[in-house]
Amino acid sequence: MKASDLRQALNYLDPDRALHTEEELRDWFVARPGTPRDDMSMLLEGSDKPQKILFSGHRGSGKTTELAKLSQQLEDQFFVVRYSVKRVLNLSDISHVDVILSMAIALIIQATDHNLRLRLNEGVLTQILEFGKDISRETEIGDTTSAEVAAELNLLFGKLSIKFGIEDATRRIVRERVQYRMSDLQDNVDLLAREVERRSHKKVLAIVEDLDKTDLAIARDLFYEHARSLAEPRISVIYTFPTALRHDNTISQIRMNFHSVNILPNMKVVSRNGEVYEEGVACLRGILNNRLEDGLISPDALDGLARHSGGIPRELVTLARQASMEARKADRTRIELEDVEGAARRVRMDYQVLLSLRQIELLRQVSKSKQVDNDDEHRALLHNLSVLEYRNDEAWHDVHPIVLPLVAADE
Amino acid sequence: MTVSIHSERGTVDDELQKLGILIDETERSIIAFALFQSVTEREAAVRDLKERLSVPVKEFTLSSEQQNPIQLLLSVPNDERAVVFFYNAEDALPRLAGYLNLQRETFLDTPHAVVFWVGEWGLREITTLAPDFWSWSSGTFDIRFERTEERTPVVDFALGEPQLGFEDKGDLLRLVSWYQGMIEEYSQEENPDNAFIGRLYARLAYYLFLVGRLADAEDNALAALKRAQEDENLGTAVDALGIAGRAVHRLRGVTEAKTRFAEALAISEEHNMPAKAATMSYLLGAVDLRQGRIDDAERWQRKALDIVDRLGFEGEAALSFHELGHIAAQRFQFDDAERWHQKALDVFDRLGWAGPTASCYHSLGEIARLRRRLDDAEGWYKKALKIQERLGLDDRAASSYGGLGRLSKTRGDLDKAEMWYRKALEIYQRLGLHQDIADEYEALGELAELRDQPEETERWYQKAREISEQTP
Repeated sequence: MKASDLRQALNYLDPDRALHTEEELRDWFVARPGTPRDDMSMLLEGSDKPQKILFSGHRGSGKTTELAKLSQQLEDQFFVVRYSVKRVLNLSDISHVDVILSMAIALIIQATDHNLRLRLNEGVLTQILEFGKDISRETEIGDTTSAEVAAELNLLFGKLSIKFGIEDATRRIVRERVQYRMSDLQDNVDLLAREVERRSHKKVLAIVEDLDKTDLAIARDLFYEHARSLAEPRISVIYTFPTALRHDNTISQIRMNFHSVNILPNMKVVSRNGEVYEEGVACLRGILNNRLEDGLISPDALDGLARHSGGIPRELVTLARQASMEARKADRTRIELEDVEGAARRVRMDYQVLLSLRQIELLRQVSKSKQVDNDDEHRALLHNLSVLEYRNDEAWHDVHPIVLPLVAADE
Repeated sequence: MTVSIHSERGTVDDELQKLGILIDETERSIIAFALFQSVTEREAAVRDLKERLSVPVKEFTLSSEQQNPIQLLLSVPNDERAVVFFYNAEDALPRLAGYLNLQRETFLDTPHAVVFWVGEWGLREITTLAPDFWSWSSGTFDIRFERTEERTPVVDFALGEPQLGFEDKGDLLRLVSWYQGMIEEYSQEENPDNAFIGRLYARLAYYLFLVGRLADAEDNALAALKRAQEDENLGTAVDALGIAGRAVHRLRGVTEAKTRFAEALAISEEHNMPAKAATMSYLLGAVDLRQGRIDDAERWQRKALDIVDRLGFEGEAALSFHELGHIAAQRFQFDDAERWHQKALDVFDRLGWAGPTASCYHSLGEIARLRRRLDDAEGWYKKALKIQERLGLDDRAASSYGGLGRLSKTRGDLDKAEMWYRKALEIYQRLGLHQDIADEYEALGELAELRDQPEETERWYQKAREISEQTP
């Protein structure tokens, strides 16, 4: 599945979609250096006990794609329940109760979706159904009756999921009821998980995505104040969490409550001393070569895109889409280096609008020291991606290559 | 609009073409931003883009009441791919950022291309408050037309408003004559009181400024400053610097004016003159706004407000409300802008400050015009003109004529538009306000272009270019 012309390239270079489908993962996925995917896989596969894992990375670094690949990798051994909390919860109003409940709902819906194959024990399903009816009492969820318990359960929790995500009133009622029955909720999750494991001969793994999009205060509440609750379910869970939390004073306490904390590093395009880092550049080239047929992009342009991307896959794809637009506009059939430079100028303009003079000054210092201080000002630069983090044996920082001319221009 | 359309990365035409390619040639949903710097230019760009697109265009205007773009997006049927333009995102901030960041997947659940038309401030807010959404964008397209000056019609009106409740121009002219006579008389005394004469010069300069005799106003302000410095009369020095700065702003632009105001502020603060410090903060804010430094402008106005609130100066506070209205308008937060101007208007009206009242009417007219409430706009402009003509505030009346011209153009009544533009031009020529003259030439050029008169179009644009090049 490769684009054969630039019009198709525009469609295959889509920054707002991670790789999801089997076909996309087969054709477009690129194994990257430094990913903790294999470490997480080994930990999950090798442990008898359920593991609670934290996973983070910069915006656009490819977390979702890596988790999709991990799910695929583990599908023979694990019943993987992968979902985005953003789809089911309101991220600006979220508590640990919501997270556990959303996990239970995702597990229930996925298990009952597959009930024809799994043939889950009806007694277990009935017990969970009773619990579901109790917590959704007073929520005007409507009729969910069905001849089959699994179907009724599926419908009840499907409706509850939608109403819980969008209706403040439902969220308040359900949260209140669940809060006092947390141990019942955990028991029901465990009960269903055990039943799924028994029938599918696979361990249950929940992958909870997009908790990294919460703000720092909510993230602290979840991962620090209520870490024990998040670690409670007796199934393996991978939670994404915000990178900013790694620079928070609570991080050492947080680490103690989870089995493993993993960071997806940006791909290095240059080493700390400024030399081109061929392994990283090759990997970024691979991302585009997998999507574009030979001859659609010149070698210079390919290297230019890798260099300007700062090693962030989404940035690479965004730049490549814009470069293909530049080439189309110039009536070319191949992306050339000047198209890449045009695309880079466009992205740079966003930073020009975004950055204050004070931030430009800080960037100048970072570009010299390759370090960031643990303060709000530097965290803001990491947050807006004008400073990127790379890793060798130790972590180091540098100014995003696209932003560098702005820093130099003001010197 | 065909003049001066080079943006930083190429022409606006190039950018529109690329945006058109992106919208037309992608098959799934996309998110993009279009960066513009005035509503008039945005409207011209949208017209141009619509002609290039093969997909249907749906347009929605966000506001402080309608902050949720997703609700609007979901009202567009999914059976045919469309492009959805969102305007006035700034009015919906900061809640809009929450919707964008937390529900960004919903944008991908539709087949549509989504373009947010934003100003610089709006783009900065969205990139800061909704970084995840921004990172999904396919790009920001620079639709900023090259400008010869930083002013925009929304804000070109405020610096140095008359603050007193004069009934008509005759009052002002009588005061000018009276002060001139006083100065002459006291200067001839055997031992003239320098400090007193300095104050008279400052007052005369102020009234000259109000009647539009700007060069005379500057000369007299400098005469006042000289005497104040000789006598170390700091209060008069601050007043003189303030008036000189206002006159200079109209005559030679903002940079020199800013130096005068900053100097005056430093003296006021060092010698504990809070009311004057508030005035200078207000003026520095007004200057920063015209230089496009919107955040700095807001900081100055908030500082001025803090002081005058403490002192209980209601009218001065309203002047800052009025400027905050301009600031909100510059950010395309039109709901806020109207609220600030209305708040200022209530105070001015109650105090009987006719000049500022007219200025509020004018600003409300500008905003109503930009929001396409054309009948409302006409009403506001005409209310402003009634006062401006009565007080003889000619340059301000010219601004209102210009507003009526733009309004008539939007209605498609080109003859009426030309009549208003020519009235404005006549006044600007009489007062020697070069940049304003160039603006009116350009406006007349646009009319000729709409009438498909290429030679006439070029003639007006050439005149505009010539005068812009001559203007420092």
